[in-house]
Amino acid sequence: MLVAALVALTLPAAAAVIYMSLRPLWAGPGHQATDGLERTYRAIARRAVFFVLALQALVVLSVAGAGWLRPIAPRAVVFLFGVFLAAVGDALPRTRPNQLFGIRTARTLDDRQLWIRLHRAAGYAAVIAGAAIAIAALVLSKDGIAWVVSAVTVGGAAALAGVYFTGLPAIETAPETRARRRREVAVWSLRLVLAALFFYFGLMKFPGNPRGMWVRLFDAIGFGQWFRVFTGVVEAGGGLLLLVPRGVWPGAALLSAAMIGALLVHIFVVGTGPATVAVLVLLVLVIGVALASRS
Amino acid sequence: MKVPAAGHAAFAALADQTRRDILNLLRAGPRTSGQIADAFHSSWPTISRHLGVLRHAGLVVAERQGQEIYYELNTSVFQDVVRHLLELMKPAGRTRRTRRRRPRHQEA
Repeated sequence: MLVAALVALTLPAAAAVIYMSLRPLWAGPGHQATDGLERTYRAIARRAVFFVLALQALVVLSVAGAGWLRPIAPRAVVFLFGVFLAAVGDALPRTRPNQLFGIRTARTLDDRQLWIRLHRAAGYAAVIAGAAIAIAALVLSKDGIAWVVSAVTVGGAAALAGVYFTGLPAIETAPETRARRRREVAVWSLRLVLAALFFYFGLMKFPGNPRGMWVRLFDAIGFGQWFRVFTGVVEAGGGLLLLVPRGVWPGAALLSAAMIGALLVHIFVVGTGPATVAVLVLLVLVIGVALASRS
Repeated sequence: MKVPAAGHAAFAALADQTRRDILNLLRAGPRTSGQIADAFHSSWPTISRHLGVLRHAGLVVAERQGQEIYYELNTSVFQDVVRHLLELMKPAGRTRRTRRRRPRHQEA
């Protein structure tokens, strides 16, 4: 009973401590306010308090032994989180550089326009992500929820990084500089994605499970299992090379060779199918990223 | 003019085509009221009054920079969505008014 009471008190106690320790930051002197910003910060704080209260209600109910809650509690928490994310995202475009809240880097605090652009984008991203998570929590399976949460997190982070780095000093730089920077970001993003994919493809080939798909595939190819490990090393190594500034050409050469080999295997050994298209797309992307990376 | 309650002010402000056009213009960055008025056919006092409504509703904020007062877009995501929906439901045949205003009269 004592443990249950302590558990029930943890969340509000933590919230109170955080609130009390952060309060001087906005209640204290020394911050200049544009009109209406107080309203925005209070709205965000209210939404956070509502989220914590709803979580607390869930905790108290399950501690009090509401049996019907057990099976739906995990979904309810995820759902509440999605709603909370969307609610905070809604207000994000209305924030301005401040002491407390937001994506606070030296650049955004210094450049009001960058802050505004970034937080408008972040608001859209958070509302979309929060809505997707809330809907997923209501209708999808546990795996489905995990997938949606990972996908929106990665997608949102990538979109924000794009806005942050492309929109950087948009006001004082020449259009050509901005175009070049945008291109660099695009090429590097592609390199990053390809590197991650090939590293993963390479690692997948290492485990020597005799029933595994790769062992059987390389049996069918007929060079022996050393070739499976060799291909894995080529793919993982080629992927890592893509991340090194001067490694694009050797990396792309290795990966193209691997993809051409995979094409030959598809044509002569296992037969073509949807996977062949994926191999072709990867081949084109690898060659494209090498060409685009010429300085 | 009747001043609506804070909660309804945003919707009342969004219910006007010129004010939605002003918000759309401000998406590109902050502008002074003079710059905004130049982009519309309406006169400066009219635009100024529209800006007052938008500001009262919290859809824009005024930021002083030296001598000038710049208006910044301050809509929430939800208000942006409402604005887009209102644009979509706009009766057909009305043209947008964001065309650049011709120079006033050829003075001097």
